[in-house]
Amino acid sequence: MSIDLQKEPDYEKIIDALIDKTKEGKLQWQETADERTFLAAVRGERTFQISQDWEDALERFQLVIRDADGRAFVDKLFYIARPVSAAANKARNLYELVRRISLNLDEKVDETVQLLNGL
Amino acid sequence: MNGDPQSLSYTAQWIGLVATGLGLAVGIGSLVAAWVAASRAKGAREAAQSARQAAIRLGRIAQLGDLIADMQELQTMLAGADLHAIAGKANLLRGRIVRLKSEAYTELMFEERGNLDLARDHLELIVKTATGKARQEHKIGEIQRAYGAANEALNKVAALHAPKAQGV
Repeated sequence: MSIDLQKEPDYEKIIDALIDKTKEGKLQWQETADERTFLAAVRGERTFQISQDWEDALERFQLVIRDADGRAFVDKLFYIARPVSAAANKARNLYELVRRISLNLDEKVDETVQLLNGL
Repeated sequence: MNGDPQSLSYTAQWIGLVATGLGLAVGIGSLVAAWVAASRAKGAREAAQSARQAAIRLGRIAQLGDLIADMQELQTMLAGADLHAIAGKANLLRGRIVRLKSEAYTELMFEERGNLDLARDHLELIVKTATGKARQEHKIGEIQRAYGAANEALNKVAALHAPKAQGV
């Protein structure tokens, strides 16, 4: 397999796969000690962390992938700047999806609506 | 004793036949004895191998029990809110989980390995949070939650491994 070292590894492909598997319910994301970081493990071979943060006025997303020994072989920051890169946009979609599932956001929104309706 | 050569020849033939039969019986008997001895040795080797594997599995259970006990020490530290000590302890526990997983890799199922990874990464994020910039009271709450997740993952590994150690 020849590798084009002028280009970055194809992170979009990984993020697309993470989005698909998250939507299929095959990745069990967990909250962590950092409220903006979520964690999932796959078969004791890989763990995935997706985080959201701000640097000055720029929103950024961090994807960390660790191997079976816990070594981070992907630790990539995606910045939301203009123009927005496709990978950064996808990283944001993944983060929002993971956060929505991990925090049971839909259930909490319904509960909040019920709470407000009861006032 | 008569000197009939015909009669002597029959006697010699009979003696030869009986001797051959006896030799054959002794040979078969030896083969059976050797097979029985080999089977017993194989059985003993298999029993010794099973006993060694059971001892290793019980050893893993003991290691997991020690880790879970040390996690309780971390919980005590959380009550004391000493973030420096919490970071040190979480880092130590993380290292022990990495070693345990590496030593026991072939004995673990996918689910057990995955839970060890979750515990390891939760502990790493506890270290990062404990040494990060957020306000102390905010950090303790976040770390408590991550501690719960790491502890649950380790307990899952222990629960999955225990039946295997008992040979179930």
